[in-house]
Amino acid sequence: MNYLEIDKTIKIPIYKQIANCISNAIEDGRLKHNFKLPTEKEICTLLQISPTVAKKAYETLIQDHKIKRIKGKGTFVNTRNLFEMQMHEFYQIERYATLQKSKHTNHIILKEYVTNDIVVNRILHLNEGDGTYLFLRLIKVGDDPVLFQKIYLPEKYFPNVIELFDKNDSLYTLLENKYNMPIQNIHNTLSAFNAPSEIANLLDIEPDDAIYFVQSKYVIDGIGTAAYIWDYLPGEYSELEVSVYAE
Amino acid sequence: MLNNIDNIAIDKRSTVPFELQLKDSIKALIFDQTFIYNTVLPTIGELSLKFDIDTSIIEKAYLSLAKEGYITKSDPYKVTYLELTNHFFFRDTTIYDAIIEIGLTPSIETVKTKNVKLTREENIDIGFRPDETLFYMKRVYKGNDVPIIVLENYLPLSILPGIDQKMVLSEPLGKFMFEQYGLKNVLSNRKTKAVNLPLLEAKLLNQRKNIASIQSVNKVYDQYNRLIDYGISHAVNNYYFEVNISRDEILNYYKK
Repeated sequence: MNYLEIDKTIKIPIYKQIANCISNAIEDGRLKHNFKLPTEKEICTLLQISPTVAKKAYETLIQDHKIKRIKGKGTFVNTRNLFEMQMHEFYQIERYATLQKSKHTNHIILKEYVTNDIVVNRILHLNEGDGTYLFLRLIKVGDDPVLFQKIYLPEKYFPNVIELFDKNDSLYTLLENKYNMPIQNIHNTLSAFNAPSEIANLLDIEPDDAIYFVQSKYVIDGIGTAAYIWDYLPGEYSELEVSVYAE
Repeated sequence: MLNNIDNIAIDKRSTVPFELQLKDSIKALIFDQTFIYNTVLPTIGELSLKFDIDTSIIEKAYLSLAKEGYITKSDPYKVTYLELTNHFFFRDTTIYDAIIEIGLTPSIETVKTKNVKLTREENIDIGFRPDETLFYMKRVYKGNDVPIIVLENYLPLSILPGIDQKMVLSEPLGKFMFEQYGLKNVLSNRKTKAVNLPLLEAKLLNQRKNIASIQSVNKVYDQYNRLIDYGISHAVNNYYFEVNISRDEILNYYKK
């Protein structure tokens, strides 16, 4: 714990000194992502301070997203970036990557042809027996997984999509440029969801952690919903902002 | 009350288990808003009769939907998936009015009130005066007596003198601020995250600890551009909200 240097003779509160020491060690690279920090009890014993002070130090760092607690495992350094976007712009991954001065990489995990999926058929107004292509795609910015997608594209609107859909295509590129379908609007519903283990694993979070679950319907004139997407964003690392003005 | 048995479909020739088909069929009806909040679902007996399948299969499907927060746990089975947002997130509407707009009777239960003094840094971080004293209240907003949102408010006493004495705790805050202080909520900035519900909030919302919940950190500014309310809310798990992205917005981004 040579990153801790506390001076009880100065006026700066001890919790703040502890938080500053850890924060500085993270910033100058002495403490790396996922480094396990001492328990609050260990800090109390070492520094001869009360549990409240140690707790406050860690709470301050958690609030600032610099450390994270994992139930049953401990407290860890967290250098993962927060995906901060305006609510209406949550799909603008390229822009976020640019703001982060980082690159985004897309990875298609699965391509599949499905029929008679009740939810998908109902949302896409498909008839019994109509087929839909399903793509599972993970999008990372730098090393951070920011979005996992289940993309449902009905065969009747997207023939040959297995060949035409490139892993780096946005849905805009696919619909507007490759299928000549002008998007009228994207209707999204957002809710909170506990991550099943397979999705947690992809998003590099713990199973049961909260995630944003977004259902997106791409609406096309004369068709209605032509593409149906399920987006999953890691809750702890995604913050969506909206400003509402009085009418 | 509506009984929606005719909307629910399963395919008896499919290899997908009936339990899963039933669950997905009801989920689809909820997602496309055929079944909205409080819709009464058919009884287990009615579905068993309609599809000629064992009641235990239907019971399992209902149980699984209840576990995921889509419906109530016992007969009468009702949809609990709640659309609040069009009335709340994108308009300058209070939670109280939003509950009225979705057709429920609102009520507010106060859990805790106190005056608090944050550190100078904390006050500055939030946007209050460095030496501000705040009136804190934690309240549960309910619709038809069912908890929907827990909201904690921090209110500056320098702008709202005496609010710790005057506040009628069962009243919505916006209305009270206007009537007592002539202050209007002009701008509300909301930052939302999906979080695991802490134990205390879970108890207040009748939810399991750690269930996923939308958290919103709100800052409300008055007509003089002053921060008059800093709030943190947690919603029940079955709460969701909508974001509609227009063609203009899409083109503005992709055509740049």
